[in-house]
Amino acid sequence: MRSSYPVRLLKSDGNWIDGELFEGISETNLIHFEQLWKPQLDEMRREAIERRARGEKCYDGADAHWNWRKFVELTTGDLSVRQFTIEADGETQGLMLVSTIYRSRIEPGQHLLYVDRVAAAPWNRKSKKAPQRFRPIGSLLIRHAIGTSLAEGFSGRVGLHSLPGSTGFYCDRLAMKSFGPDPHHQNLEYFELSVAQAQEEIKKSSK
Amino acid sequence: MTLNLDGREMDVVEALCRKKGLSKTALLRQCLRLYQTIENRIARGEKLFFEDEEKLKSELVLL
Repeated sequence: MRSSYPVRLLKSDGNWIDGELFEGISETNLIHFEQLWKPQLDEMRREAIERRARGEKCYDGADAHWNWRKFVELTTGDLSVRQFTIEADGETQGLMLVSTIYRSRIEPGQHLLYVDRVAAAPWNRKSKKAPQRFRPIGSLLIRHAIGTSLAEGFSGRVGLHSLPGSTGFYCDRLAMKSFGPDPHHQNLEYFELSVAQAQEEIKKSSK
Repeated sequence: MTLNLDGREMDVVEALCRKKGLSKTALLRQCLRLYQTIENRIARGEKLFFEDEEKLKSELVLL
């Protein structure tokens, strides 16, 4: 049985709904991804390609090619990887994979929690078409990554490579330190949260 | 589970715990994760290299 703890999510009508953050990604979560998320992500990606062709800056659906079933198959049984899921309203609202064997660039030699993949369901993302159904999925998952880093003994250090459309969140909202595009990781920008920034984030979330 | 380590081994565990700021449990958990990761990648036919300051690579031969 998967361990879980309760989370509260803000609905688009301003009311709150109870959800759960689970350790592990279940077969049901994968079916939700394939049947509910994927068609919407593919549509978002198609629209983003059209908008970019018109000269607009749009990275919606940049993760549409992520194959969560494959990720789960490859990492189940791997002690260095932990999987997390947010569920609410009978559906999968967010997914995250983290790795525990990466090292810090801010403090070379020290361990950190590396967020390998993190994704909110397409209906929970900012969009001009419709309000987010539940939020803040991404923030809750990243906050959970910070908590997991603390529990692992990594003092809250978190690192990740960001897709182009999410860099603002990590840079502006979390004030993570940017190390610029990483040529060893598809030129995605690498960000890291220091121990001090993690403590600041925990203080903010406990208010 | 009880681990029987001799004095020299315990010295290394304690030194690494201090260096990494980890508890003994967290340190041994990391050791197991790294050991499994290396084993899995070697089993897939990958090789493990170290690179020195002059960018010279040396393959780590695992027994």
